[in-house]
Amino acid sequence: MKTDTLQKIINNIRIEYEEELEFDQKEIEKAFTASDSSFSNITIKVLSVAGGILAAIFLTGFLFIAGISDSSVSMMITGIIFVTGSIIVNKLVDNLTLDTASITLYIVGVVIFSIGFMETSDSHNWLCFILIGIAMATLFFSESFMLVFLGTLLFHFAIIYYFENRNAVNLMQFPILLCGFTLVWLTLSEARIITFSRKANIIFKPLQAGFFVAFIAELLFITESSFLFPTRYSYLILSLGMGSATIILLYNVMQSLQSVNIRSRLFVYITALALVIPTIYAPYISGALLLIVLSFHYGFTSQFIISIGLLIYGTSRFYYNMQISLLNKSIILFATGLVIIGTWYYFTQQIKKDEKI
Amino acid sequence: MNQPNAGRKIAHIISRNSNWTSNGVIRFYKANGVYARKVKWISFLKFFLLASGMAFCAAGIFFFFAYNWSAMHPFAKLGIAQGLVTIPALLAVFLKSQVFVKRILLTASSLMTGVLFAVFGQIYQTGADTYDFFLAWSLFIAIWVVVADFAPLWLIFVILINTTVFFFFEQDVRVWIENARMNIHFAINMFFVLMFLWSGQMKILKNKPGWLIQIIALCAITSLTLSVIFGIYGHQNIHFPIAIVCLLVFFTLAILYGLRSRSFFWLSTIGFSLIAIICALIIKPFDDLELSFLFVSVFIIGSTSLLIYQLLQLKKRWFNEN
Repeated sequence: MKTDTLQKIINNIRIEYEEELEFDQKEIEKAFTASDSSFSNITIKVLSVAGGILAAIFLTGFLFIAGISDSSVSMMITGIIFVTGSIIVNKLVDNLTLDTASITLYIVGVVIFSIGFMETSDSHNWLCFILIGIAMATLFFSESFMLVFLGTLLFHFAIIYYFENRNAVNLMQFPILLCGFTLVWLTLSEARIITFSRKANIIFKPLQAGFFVAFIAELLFITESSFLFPTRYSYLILSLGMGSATIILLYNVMQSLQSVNIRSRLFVYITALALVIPTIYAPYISGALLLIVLSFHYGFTSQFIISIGLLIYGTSRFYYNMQISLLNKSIILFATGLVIIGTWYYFTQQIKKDEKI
Repeated sequence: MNQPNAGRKIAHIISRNSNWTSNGVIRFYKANGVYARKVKWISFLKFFLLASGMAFCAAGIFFFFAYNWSAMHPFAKLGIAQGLVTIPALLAVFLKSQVFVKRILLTASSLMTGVLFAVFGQIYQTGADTYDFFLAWSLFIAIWVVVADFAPLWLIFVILINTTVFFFFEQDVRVWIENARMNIHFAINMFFVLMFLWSGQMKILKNKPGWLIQIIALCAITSLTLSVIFGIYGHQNIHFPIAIVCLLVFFTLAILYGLRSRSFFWLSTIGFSLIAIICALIIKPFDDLELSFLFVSVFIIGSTSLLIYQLLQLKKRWFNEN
C-alpha cells in the first residue's frame, strides 16, 4: 500500500468517524510496509509450519535415539528449556524468519516434557494443569502469531484431555460449549478487544483463529464418535447451548443490519429453529450453522468456507447414521428439500414486496 | 472475497497505534464491508436456500432409486443411468441460461458418465480391470472437458487420468518400479500445467484460475521429488537419471517463471522440494541415525528460515519497485 493511499484512509477516518484522533503516523506506516512485504502472504506461513513440523519430527527422533528417554528428569528439563527458549527468542527478535525454529522448539518442547512427566508421575491431571499453565504463559508472554495460535490449541487439548482422563466424558459437553461461547464472544467484541490495549490487539487474530480451529476439531470429534456420550442428555445440552447461541447471535446480527422488520425477524428465528430442532441429537449441525452465521457476518472468509464444509459433512453423516430404511430416508430428504425450496420461494417473494415499498 | 481481510488488517494496524475507540472501529467495519451488509446477507440466503433445497431433493431421488435398485429390471437401471448423463447434457445445449449454469450441467453429466459405466459393469459383469473403468470414464468425457473449459471439471479430469495410471500400474504391471510410476505422474501433471499456461497465453482456452494450476503443479512437483528420493534409496535404474534431468530442467524453468511472474508459489514449493531431497541425501550415507537426524533437523530449520528470508527480501524488492 502506498503512503498516499494510507494518508487518504487515515484522513477519511479522521473526518468521518472521530474528530480527535491521535495517530502515531510513523509507526502505522512502518507496520503497513512490514505487513505488505511479509505478513499478508499465506505461502510463507504454510512454509514455516511445514518446515517446523518436519524438523520437529526429526529432532524428536534424534533426542530419543540419543537416549533422552533414559532419564525423565532430563526430558522435562529439555522440554521446559525448549518452550521458554522459543518464546524468548521470538520475543527478542521479531522476525518471521525465526518462525520455523520457534515452531519446532515449541512442539518438541511440549511433547518431550509431557512424555518425561508421564514417566515420573502417574498423575495425568497434573500434566493437564501444567500444560494449561504453559499455554497461558505462551499467551501472556508471546506476541508471535504462530506461538499464540499453538498455545491456544494446546490449552484446548489439555482441557479435553483432562476430562477424558478423569473418565468424565459425560461432562465433556461443557468445555466444548465453553469453547464455542468464547469464540462467539471474541468475534463479537473484536472492536473492543483490538482497541483495549496493544497486547490485546496483537494476540486477537491468533487467539480467535485458535479458538475456531479448536471448536471445529471438537465438533468433528462429536461427528466421528457418534456413541461418545453415555446419555442423550449430553447431546441435548450441546444442541440447546448452540441453538441459544445462534439465536443470540442472530439477534445481534439483525440489530446491526437495522431496518429489519418484525415479520422478517420472526421468519429468521423460525427458520433457525426449524433447522436446529430436528437435528437436536446431532449438535454438530447446529454448531456448523452457528459458525456459518458468525464467520459470514463478521467477515472471516476462510473460516466461512471451512464452516460450509463442516455443514455438508455433518449433514451427510447425520443421514448416514440414521437407522431407518432407504425409502424413509428418501422421503425425509425429499420433503426437507421441498420445505427448503418453499422457504426460498417465500423469501424471494417477500424481498420483492419489500423492494416495491 | 478478500475485501473483509484487507479492511480488518488496516483497522488492526491503525487501532494499534492510535486512540481509536471501539465504536469508531465498528463504524469503520460496517462502512467498509468487513461486517456483512443487508444486500450481501440477502444474496447469500437466496443462494444458500436454493442450493441446499435442490441438493436435498436430489439426494431424496437418489435414495429412492437406491431403495428400489435390486428389484429393478436391468434395462430400467441402464435407462436411469443414461438419462442422468443425457438430460443434463441436453439441457446444457438447449437451455437459454448463463454459461456458468451450462458448465455446471456438463460437469454433472461428466460425473454421471462414471455412474453409467459402473452400472454397465455391474449388469454385464464385464470383468474389466479397475483401470479400464477409469480410462473409459476419462476418454468419454474428454470432449466435454475441453468444450466446457471449466476449472473444477478440468481438475476432475486430471484426477481421473492420474487414477487410471495409478490402477494400471497397481494391477496390470507386475514389476514394481516406484520411480518410473512417479515419473509418469510427473509427466502427466506437468503436461497439464504447461498446457494451461500456454493455452492461456495464446488465448486458445480461458485463463485458468491460480488454484487449479497450483494444485496440479503441486502434484507434479511432489511426484518428481518422490521419484528422486526413491532413486536415492536404491532404485538405481534408467528412471533415476531421467528424473534428475527433469528436475534440473523443470526446476530451473519453474524458478525463472516464478521470478518473472512474481509468484511465491513456485519459489517456495521448489525450495521445499529441494530441501526434502537434500535431507534424503544427508540421511542416506549415515549408518548412524542419531547424528544424521540431528543434522537433518538443524538443516531443515536453517534452510527453511533461509528460504523464508530470501522470499521476504524478494517481496520487499518487488514492493519497492511497484
